[in-house]
Amino acid sequence: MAPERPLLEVNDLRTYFFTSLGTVRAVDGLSFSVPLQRIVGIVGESGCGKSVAARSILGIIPPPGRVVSGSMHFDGDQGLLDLAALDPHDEVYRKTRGKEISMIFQEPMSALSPVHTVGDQLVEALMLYDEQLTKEDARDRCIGLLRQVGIPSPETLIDAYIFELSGGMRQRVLVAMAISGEPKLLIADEPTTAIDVTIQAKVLDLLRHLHEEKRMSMLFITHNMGVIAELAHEVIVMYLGTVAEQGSVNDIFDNPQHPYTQALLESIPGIGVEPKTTLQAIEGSVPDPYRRPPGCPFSNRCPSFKAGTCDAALPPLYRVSESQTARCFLLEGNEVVAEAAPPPEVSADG
Amino acid sequence: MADAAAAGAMERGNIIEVRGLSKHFPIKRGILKHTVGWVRAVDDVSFDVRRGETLGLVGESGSGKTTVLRLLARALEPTDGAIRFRLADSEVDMAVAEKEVLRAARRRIRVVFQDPESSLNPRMTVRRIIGEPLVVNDKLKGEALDARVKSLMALVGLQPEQLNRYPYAFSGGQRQRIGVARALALDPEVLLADEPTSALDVSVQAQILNLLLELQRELGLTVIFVTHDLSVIRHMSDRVAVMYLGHFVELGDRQQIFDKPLHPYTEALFSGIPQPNPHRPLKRIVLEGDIPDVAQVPTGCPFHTRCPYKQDRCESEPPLLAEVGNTGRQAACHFAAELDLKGEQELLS
Ligand SMILES: Nc1ncnc2c1ncn2[C@@H]1O[C@H](COP(=O)(O)OP(=O)(O)O)[C@@H](O)[C@H]1O
Ligand SMILES: Nc1ncnc2c1ncn2[C@@H]1O[C@H](COP(=O)(O)OP(=O)(O)O)[C@@H](O)[C@H]1O
Ligand code: SF4
Ligand SMILES: [Mg+2]
Ligand SMILES: [Mg+2]
Repeated sequence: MAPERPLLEVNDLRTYFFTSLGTVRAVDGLSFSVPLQRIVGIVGESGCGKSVAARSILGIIPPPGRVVSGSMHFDGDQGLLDLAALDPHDEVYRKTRGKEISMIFQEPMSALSPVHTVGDQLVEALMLYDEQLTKEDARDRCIGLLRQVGIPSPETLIDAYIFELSGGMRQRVLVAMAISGEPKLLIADEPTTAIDVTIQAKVLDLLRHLHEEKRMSMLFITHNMGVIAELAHEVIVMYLGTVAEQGSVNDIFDNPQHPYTQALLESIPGIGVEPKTTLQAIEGSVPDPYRRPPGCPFSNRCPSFKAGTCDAALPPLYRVSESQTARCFLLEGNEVVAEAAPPPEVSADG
Repeated sequence: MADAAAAGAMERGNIIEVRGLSKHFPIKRGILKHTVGWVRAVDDVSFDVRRGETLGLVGESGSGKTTVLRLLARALEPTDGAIRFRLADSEVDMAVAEKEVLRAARRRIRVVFQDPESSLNPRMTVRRIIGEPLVVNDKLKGEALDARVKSLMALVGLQPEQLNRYPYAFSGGQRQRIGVARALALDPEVLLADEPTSALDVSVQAQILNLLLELQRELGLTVIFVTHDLSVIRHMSDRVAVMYLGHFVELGDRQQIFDKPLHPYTEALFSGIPQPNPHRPLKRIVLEGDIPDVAQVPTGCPFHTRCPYKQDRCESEPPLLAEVGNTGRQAACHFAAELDLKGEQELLS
């Protein structure tokens, strides 16, 4: 395989929030890449930093947070950019955000305006990305987009307000907005978490279809292992702001190496699990961000915990195979892909 | 084991018999608040619950699951119908019970809510939250109260010495344990659990599901477990009821339903569960359109606007929930006996 340059390469990204209670290391040494035309899935429990990672890429971290170190190389229309080194208000960043990298947000209502029609919002977005576009053409394009995402009678729906739409239709409008600039990278942050299974099934089908048709790369964020198995080519398992394990979808489901990945897979009920029997639960819960355990972030819940090792230092990233890596001392002896870097000394004002 | 328990439940008979239960909410408009229509949240529903079993109630949001539970607990006044509870020491119709009878019955029928965040008063200590039903009903106080609260905390896997803490000091999973302890305080016979794990992470969900299974075995509880998550329903239930737009569309033994559903909506639901297995995704049955507005339930079969097997008569003639052949199973579909629907194994590719 000739190593092709990935569309996005995130390296040792750290995004911290400097709150009055202390520093939240929401994303803390995250590295991964999104190859061209692939779907990369990020999975992890709530609070592990999935949304903050996505917002870091888009350059929309609200204060008191900011990207404190690391790099995010994006290979877009404006050449290879390190987004982490750009000011989020920079012209170059603004041209990338929304158009080349777009995002479907977790909360559909917060991403759409209640006082404008579907058409108003979409037309505005389209005209922003393409300054030559006339209003009439934009409206036509908008109807085409709505049709593309499976909205019936888009000629009527274009004049509807968001509150007049069902949950499934809202989600489709969001997808239409996100693909309106023909992005190279679409980030979808739990786009189906708030909707029902029969509707979720349709939205997943739609996203897969768009990916195939437009060869669009996707970063798909979810806490649902089933959704990951269905959609992703590559998988990143996150825990407390960093990668616990990453690999191809087959690596992760057939041969998980990190105790967290293993435990996560064993804790879900479903086909193959005898009903009414005891599930393999993970002890405790994700730690409070202000009280991280020393050493490996999973050490206080890990069934394979070794005192003196796991609580002494952060494990390095070990190679499991060509396509798979994991951050766990059980893999000691394997090739070290990256040593664990200590968090940088930073303060609120950098 | 599970089969023996189910057979035992059968011998012990029904603890709940619901007949023709309805709840219609008025839709009011304008300054004068005229009633312009009705939301038929629950519409003419009948079912039995066997003593000691878990009945799983599944359906998409807005299908009426929570309304059914609230009616059973009489947190809502029914529009119509009967809700007979055959409790250990009394029989009550919750639909019409008043004052003392209602109060006594409510001790035996307790609810666990979805969101431990909002169902626990943040200004109360755990001692007060769990102890409140004991103070109000049994006038417990002092050391007797503390002892009982501590034993309840131990029962649900909390540390009894934490009884003076406030909810914020606990994780989401621990808060749900507090909710369970509170529900168990008065030794109920029936536990109504409304999406008790839907707000929790999967690893923590497993803990709470384990706890509920264990408590049911130990205390012989009858449980009605409501969720939109089919994998959870499959794991927790002895029998399953599927709701759609205020109706029960299918009801029967869990294993039989998952092996071979009798209602087209059940089949579509199964086909939509994302499987944590990249090699065997489900063959998807894509339904037409979205779930209709509950204020405008389609005529005939409520599912006909989306059903892949619909015939002309489905548009006008409402199918009733009835036994299909001699299967001992019920479905509300004109063609339940003829359709050869796929179960979860057959849906795997
Ligand atoms: N605006 C903020 N201020 C302070 N902390 C924040 C803020 N946004 C997120 N965090 C913290 O960052 C961590 C990661 O959050 P998030 O990325 O939203 O998790 P996920 O999306 O995986 O559920 C959490 O501990 C969260 O509390
Ligand atoms: N107090 C109420 N007033 C009016 N409509 C209600 C009320 N409670 C529930 N509904 C409606 O009844 C229907 C069923 O709701 P619910 O029982 O909460 O469904 P589920 O729990 O299955 O999601 C919904 O359309 C809901 O909007
Ligand atoms: S009655 Fe008709 S519309 Fe309803 S589920 Fe059966 S086949 Fe489908
Ligand atoms: Mg998130
Ligand atoms: Mg509900």
